[in-house]
Amino acid sequence: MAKLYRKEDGTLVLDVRGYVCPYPVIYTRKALAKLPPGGLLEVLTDNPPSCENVPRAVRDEGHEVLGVEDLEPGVWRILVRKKAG
Amino acid sequence: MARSEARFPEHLAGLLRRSLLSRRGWPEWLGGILLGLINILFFAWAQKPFTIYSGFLNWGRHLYADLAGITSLGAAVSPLADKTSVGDIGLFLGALLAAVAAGEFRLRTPARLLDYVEGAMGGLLMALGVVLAVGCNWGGFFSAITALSLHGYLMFLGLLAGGFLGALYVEWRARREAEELELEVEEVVEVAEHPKRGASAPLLAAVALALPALLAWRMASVGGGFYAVILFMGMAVGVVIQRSRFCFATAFRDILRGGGEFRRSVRLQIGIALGILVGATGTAVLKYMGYVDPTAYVKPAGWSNVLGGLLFGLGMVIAGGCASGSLWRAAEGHVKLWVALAAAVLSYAPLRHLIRSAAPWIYGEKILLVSSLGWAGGLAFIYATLTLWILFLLYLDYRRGSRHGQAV
Repeated sequence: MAKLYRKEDGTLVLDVRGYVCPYPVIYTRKALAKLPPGGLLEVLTDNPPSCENVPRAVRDEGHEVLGVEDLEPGVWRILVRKKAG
Repeated sequence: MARSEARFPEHLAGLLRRSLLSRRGWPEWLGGILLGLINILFFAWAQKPFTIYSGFLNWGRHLYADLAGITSLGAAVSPLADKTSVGDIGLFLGALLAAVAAGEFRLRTPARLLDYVEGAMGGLLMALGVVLAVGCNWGGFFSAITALSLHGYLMFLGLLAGGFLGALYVEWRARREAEELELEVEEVVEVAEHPKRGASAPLLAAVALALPALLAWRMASVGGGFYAVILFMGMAVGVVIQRSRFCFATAFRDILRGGGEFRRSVRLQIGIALGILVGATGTAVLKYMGYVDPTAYVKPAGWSNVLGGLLFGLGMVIAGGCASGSLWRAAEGHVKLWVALAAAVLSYAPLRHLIRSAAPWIYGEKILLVSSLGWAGGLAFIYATLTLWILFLLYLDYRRGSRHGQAV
């Protein structure tokens, strides 16, 4: 199931590996809601369309996408900074 | 000189990774137009449009007859000598090839037990929907309107309703699970810092290339190459669908409900509409010129198509993939969609047999759009309805955009 961790530096890590659309986008929104303004969220997904959907959905809402990186074959990490205001 | 020659393969790989194999995927409008074009070629070659479920019928009949000795569901030719079945195999292999080439293949086991149940339920609903709508999202909708048959429009209405219901289900599940999304204060997630290199990548690539080559060689040696060409066209569909993430489930799930991926559903719907525009134009030429029978793939149109579309639309959202989407996601390694495929293949043949023999009266009449409206009128009807639909989609997007603008 989806997991949410907080790292020592305050970054939230949302692990939605195993989930297909639309859950990665929905849970990313919920995780962002738990962050303070300007906070960092890492989303781990193994669903290829989510590499495009999740960044686009959060950008639409004014958050900043810092990058999408390959973690290992078929798994990606999307780094999001929550909007300031 | 030798140095630059040695680097060319890497240069080429980098170029591909930034263009055709990019993580962003191809734009949806391009995917739709390419699918429309392939559909015309497929129609000209096979005398039928690209569809999916009669391949599942072939597989189901084989499974019941060969493994359980049940022959009452009808006889079936070899899966390698059935146009639709070969196209399906091609779609699967094309999606596999594209996923492997883009580094997106991975065995993905579902997060929860519920996903297996959803896969099975979704597959079952889709099979029942196909029996009633006389086709899936291809044979009952995309390829149906392309073939100038009225039944495609009726399933479209049902898909909108089914997608809406599916969105309500998704919201319910997400609400329920969100309560369990508790914050655990743990230091690190260990997967994060040590990227594994894909040791099995060359092996996967070899399999993804060898499978279609072997099949095509076998078909060419048996059937004179006819089915090998169908296999290649199916692969083209698979590559396009995987690369442009051409997901009918998303297109119908979030369009009316305005769900999480609303913007993407708008782009997908526009891609679908463009594909139908291109495909219908080409098919009209083929039918008018007599390359294919004008009544080819004109199917019964009535209330059963609407109801079938509703059940299919709900099923594809629950399963996480439509007919083509199930094959594509299964090829990417999603176990949930393997379950959906198995459920669809096992239930389609019996459901079809049962309903067609017990209640044949549920089906409407076969209506070819151009027979009542003329060739120009029929095409004009398709152009006008699709243009209006695209305008409506752009309006929805505009309204949502301006509302968000005010809110921020």
